[in-house]
Amino acid sequence: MLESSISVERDGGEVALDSLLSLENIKVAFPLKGKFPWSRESVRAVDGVSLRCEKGDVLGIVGESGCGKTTLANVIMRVLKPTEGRVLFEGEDHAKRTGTRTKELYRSLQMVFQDPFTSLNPVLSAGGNVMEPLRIQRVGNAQERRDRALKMMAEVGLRADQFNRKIAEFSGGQLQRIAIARALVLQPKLVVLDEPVSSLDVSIQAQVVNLLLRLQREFDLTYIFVSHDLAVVRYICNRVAVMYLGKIVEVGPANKILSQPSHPYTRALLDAIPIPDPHKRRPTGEAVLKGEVPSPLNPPNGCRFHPRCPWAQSVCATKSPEIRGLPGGNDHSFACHFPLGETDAIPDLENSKQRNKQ
Amino acid sequence: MSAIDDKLGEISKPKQRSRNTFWRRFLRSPTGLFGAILFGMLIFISVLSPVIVPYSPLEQVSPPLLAPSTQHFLGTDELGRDILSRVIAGSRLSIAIAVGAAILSAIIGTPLGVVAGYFGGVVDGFVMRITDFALALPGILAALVVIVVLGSNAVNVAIAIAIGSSPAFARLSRAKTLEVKTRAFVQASKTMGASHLDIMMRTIAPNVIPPLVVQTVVTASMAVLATAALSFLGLGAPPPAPTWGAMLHDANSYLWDSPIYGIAPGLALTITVVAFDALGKGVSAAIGGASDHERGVGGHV
Repeated sequence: MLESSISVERDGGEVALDSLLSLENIKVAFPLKGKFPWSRESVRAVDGVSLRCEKGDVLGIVGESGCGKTTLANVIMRVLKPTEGRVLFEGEDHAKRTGTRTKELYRSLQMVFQDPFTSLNPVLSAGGNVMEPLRIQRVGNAQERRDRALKMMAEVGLRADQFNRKIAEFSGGQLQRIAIARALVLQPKLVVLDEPVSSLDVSIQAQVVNLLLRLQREFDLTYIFVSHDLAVVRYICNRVAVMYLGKIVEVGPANKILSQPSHPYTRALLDAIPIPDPHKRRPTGEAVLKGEVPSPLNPPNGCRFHPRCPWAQSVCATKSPEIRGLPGGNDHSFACHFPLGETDAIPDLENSKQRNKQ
Repeated sequence: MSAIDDKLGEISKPKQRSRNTFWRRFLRSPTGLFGAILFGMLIFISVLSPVIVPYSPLEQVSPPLLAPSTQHFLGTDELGRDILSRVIAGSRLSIAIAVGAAILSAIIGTPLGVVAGYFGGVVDGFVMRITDFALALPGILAALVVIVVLGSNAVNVAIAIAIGSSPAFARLSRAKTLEVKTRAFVQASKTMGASHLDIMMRTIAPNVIPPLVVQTVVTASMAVLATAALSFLGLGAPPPAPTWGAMLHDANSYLWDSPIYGIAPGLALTITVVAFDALGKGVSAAIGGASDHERGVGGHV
């Protein structure tokens, strides 16, 4: 149920009325301890992100490590206060929630963490961990909590006799199942999954991803799936936002973005997926990334990707591209002065070949 | 031998419940076993002391300063009371004060450390400066002041010792809290809507307390000595209550006439301290092992 529908004109674009979650120009800066107490340097981990997530979406947030994905997840979870911007969940501003409203927020908003070895309380049993949200939110009595936890553990494929087992007795995949059960036991609307499978064995990854998909359909959930693994994102997400150095460079339908990206960075990410065939050569014209990710302490002027972009022109170094869509581009937008067409080949061929040889 | 035991422990480890692992490890360490047996005997004696004493510890039953005999196994003191009975009866007070003081100092110190570590910043600075202040004072001096202010009886002795030894608990629990609070399950508690109090009490404290058990036992051992020292100085439980410290003090005047008078409470004191220390070592080994086990299974591969 959506309590309040507000329409806000902001930054020239209209924020959709009934988005489950919308981020408006989120900025997060972490102050650094400088050499002098008065120095005001800071890392801009997230720098002006606007994003919507509709009910039923599986929204992927992808990008290299250090691009601000996890910071953004923490902002969504209201664990981290953005330096600027607003987070609206079901139309209500995170910053304006107090006391009990905050507590109620977490009935609808839950998170699954990357490392199940540290995200579960080692003092509690498996069932104890799953019952913990129910206890904190004061749902039912002890017996009801136990029943609900047992039911949810069955949903994620754990046996009832594992209820009282200690956390240390489970494998990584099982632990992540417990963590998923814990996140879903309150029947939330939105679940933020922060790299939920990247610490698991590849064989287990597929099981957990399928489990997540099944649960999403079964409980009518909305996911925000933070990941660096494009293969998993392609499999699970219907929308994707690509982040680079604290900004969203491209956002839109997953099948469009992951097959025909408009932003050179997305293209480079896709091209970096290894081809599992030793005889197959990489087709020339692939955008192999040059250089390192610049430091977010001192991001490049203009387009943040321009020092590494094979298509970069002089304007890219001076003017930061606004995020925009193509006419009739069905919800697909990107931040690039020179979006790629279908057949764009990489211009800087020599350079990229040399890179390949290294 | 212990190396083989360790190997065996490792082989049989994964199948065991961790609760059992604690006891198994504890009983496997010879020091811990020794301490447990000794401590068990002491508890047994002190609990049953009213029944097993040969004479009343307060009654003057024989002429003063008798040498050991079959009637008075350890002789009599300057007032003609049976020394064995007084040593046995004294165990009760000594152990009660020691355990009480140790538990009390854990109760005072641990919440302070958890709060300081959890909130950090100004709160941390404030609490830690207080504990620094308490640590800077010589413990026995602080205890003297407390007893002079509160009056000298067994409960106040325990309070005095607890105040002196609680900063150690604050420091330890703060350090452990700093480590625990960075782990993801604390953040997970936040994203379940838990309050700060709830997080500290239900999520952090259970993870902080196990290592403090060792500190509690060590503190108890120290408290036995401190209690004796305070009684020796005349600030323990008031006479005629039998305390080892007071007995040592009185025996001091009769060292040449009746050496056994001083040796008996001294030996009792030594045995108790040794028992607590061995117990502490055993617990430490068992807990250290248990957390190794956790790390091994939960390691980041």
